[in-house]
Amino acid sequence: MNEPSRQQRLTIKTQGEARQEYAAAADWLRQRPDYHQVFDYFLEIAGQAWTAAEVSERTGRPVVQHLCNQAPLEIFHAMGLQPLRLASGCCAVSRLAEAGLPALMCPMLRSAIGAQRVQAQASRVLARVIPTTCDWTVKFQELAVALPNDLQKNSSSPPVHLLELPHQRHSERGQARFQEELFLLIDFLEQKIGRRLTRSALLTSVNLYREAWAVLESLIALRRDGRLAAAWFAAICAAFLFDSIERWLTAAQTLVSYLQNQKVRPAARSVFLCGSPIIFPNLKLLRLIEEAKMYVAADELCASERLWPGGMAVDDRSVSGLIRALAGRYHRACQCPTFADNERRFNSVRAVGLPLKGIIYHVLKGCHPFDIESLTMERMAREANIPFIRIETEYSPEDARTILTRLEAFANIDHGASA
Amino acid sequence: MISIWRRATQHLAFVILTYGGRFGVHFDSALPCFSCPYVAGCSGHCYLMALQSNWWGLQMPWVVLTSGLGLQALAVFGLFVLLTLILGKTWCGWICPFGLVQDWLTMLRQRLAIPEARMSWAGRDRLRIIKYLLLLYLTIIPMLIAHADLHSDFSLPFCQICPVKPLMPLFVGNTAHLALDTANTITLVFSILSVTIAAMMVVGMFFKPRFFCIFCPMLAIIHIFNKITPLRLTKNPPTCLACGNCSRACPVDIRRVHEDRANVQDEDCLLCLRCVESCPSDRTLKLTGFGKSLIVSARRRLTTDG
Repeated sequence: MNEPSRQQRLTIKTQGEARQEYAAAADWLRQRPDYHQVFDYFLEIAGQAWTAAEVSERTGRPVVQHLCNQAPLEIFHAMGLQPLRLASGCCAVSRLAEAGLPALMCPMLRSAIGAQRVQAQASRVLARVIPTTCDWTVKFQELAVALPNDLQKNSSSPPVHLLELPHQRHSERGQARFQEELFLLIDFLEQKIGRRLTRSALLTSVNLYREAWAVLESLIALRRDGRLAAAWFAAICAAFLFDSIERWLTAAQTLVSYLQNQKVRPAARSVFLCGSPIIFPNLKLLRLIEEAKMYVAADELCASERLWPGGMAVDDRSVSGLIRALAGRYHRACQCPTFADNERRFNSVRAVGLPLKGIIYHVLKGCHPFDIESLTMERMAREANIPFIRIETEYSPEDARTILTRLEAFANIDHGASA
Repeated sequence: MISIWRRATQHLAFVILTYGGRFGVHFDSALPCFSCPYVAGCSGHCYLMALQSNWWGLQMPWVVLTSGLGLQALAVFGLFVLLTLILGKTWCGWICPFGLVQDWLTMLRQRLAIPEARMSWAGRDRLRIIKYLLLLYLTIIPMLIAHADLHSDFSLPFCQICPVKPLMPLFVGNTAHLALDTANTITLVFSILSVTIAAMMVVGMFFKPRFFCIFCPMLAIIHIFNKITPLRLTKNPPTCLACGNCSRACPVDIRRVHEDRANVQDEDCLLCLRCVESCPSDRTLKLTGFGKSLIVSARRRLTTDG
């Protein structure tokens, strides 16, 4: 038997560190005074670094990995596939991937590439669907291929479908092009699975996800009145990204019933969190905000409240009508900073309807779209007389003290008027 | 829920307006909707007929117009204006019997899972002018008959080609208006046009919701009074998340409702309130009456109604 190489030893060590990182985040949540066993399902799912093979086995469906929010989950579900988000908040695997990737790369994607690198089991991924949101996602596959899996020498990358994203979502041309892209995605998946998408299956999935959206809306409402902390919300959303919708829905409905019987706890210092995504187990910023005695009453993060952009009204229930509605939800309603016509993004802040202590804008170093849009958000916050703070950070915990000091100062300064 | 109330109102209005006359109900000839006088036993008449006619409308000679009958014509017009002002476009979205017929065809298509026909934005915009041209047509021809000796067989020029004339009488078992009138060339041409337009409209209305409303001159007249009607569709732009549900759900493809502005009531709006129902943002779209909110958009509505 061959001795593992130095790189393989490092990879195996990173596997262990990654497991510890997930477990530590889950343990921190378990130690909280607002923990209840009703959260156990979410901790079980979010608190582990699941491989595609494990997810496929657990859900009984072939896995399609995807990036970003623009790939319609209903289509995957209707075709008997399990969508699995190619996103990772794990610092250990991000470090592992660091050496072979550009220095200023988006940590979330670097971590996603690192997570693929440490998977010891055969891939079992049917395909990868990558919406072309930013340059990093467009080049994701190229970078992923450049860093081979250290533990499976003969592993091959799954076939990739680039879902080309028109960057103008309110133009006729942009909307028509995205609908066309969805039909191309369906063609691609039909070829992979060898059967056609049926209207009844799509309608069933649309209704199922609408039910899930309604539950998510209930959770958002509970969050607004102080009954659901942001860290729990992150775990709930992570579980959604890594498990079957049916199981998640059942657990989330139980959670809603439990929380609705809890006392309303209006927070004194409610803040609005926006910017780059926060993905389990990277709860650093959420923990620091809590330590600074602020409560994240609302957010506009794509792996959190903006998980499903908007509710979906469906009148035309033909396949093309359903696809048109899905295109509306995943493209037109999406407020990703990658879009050129994003003027109404600040409306998410206004729609919260709570007095806000301020806006915390999170930028992951290397996440260019959010970095660019932070300028616009800051200007709009100033115009609306809402205090604004921009936190630029990484997955690593080294800058935690500095961030905490800034957040405490932000929390304690009397900014005068707020929203 | 809004759709359920609207459907119930539409069906009730259909029964009353189409069959009410048989039970002694009569709302006169000033209705701002297509309750067609060619339907025997209907309980009220579309004002467009009165407007084109030689008894209360533009085909009246000057001498009659300046007599007592002129005052009666003015009274009918006044009643029409009053009804239009009170309910505005809800006549179109909630009451018009022919509107409901169009909605039935849409429901049938949806039941059969046949996709809706789509129009390009520019194509849809180009069609807007047609209703005003039809309005011009139905006002000029009667005046030419009255004052320029145009042949009287051109009377009621819009009714002669209106698809409602051959289609609505079918609901009381009358197929007579599907036949060609061979009395002379004018009547023959009108009857051929009438049946052809009706057939085209049925196909159009099946594939496109409220297809006829795009061309309806009544909608154009109601729109003229829109600025002073108390019922308005308004928007609170700061809370709009730009999801586009409103314009996608709109049966007549209005894009203005999606725009970043407070006054979103478009000239083609039917006040069906499907946009309000499909809006996922609380208190963003609303129907107001005399400055008071009557119906507002609500997140919870979308989670339950879809």
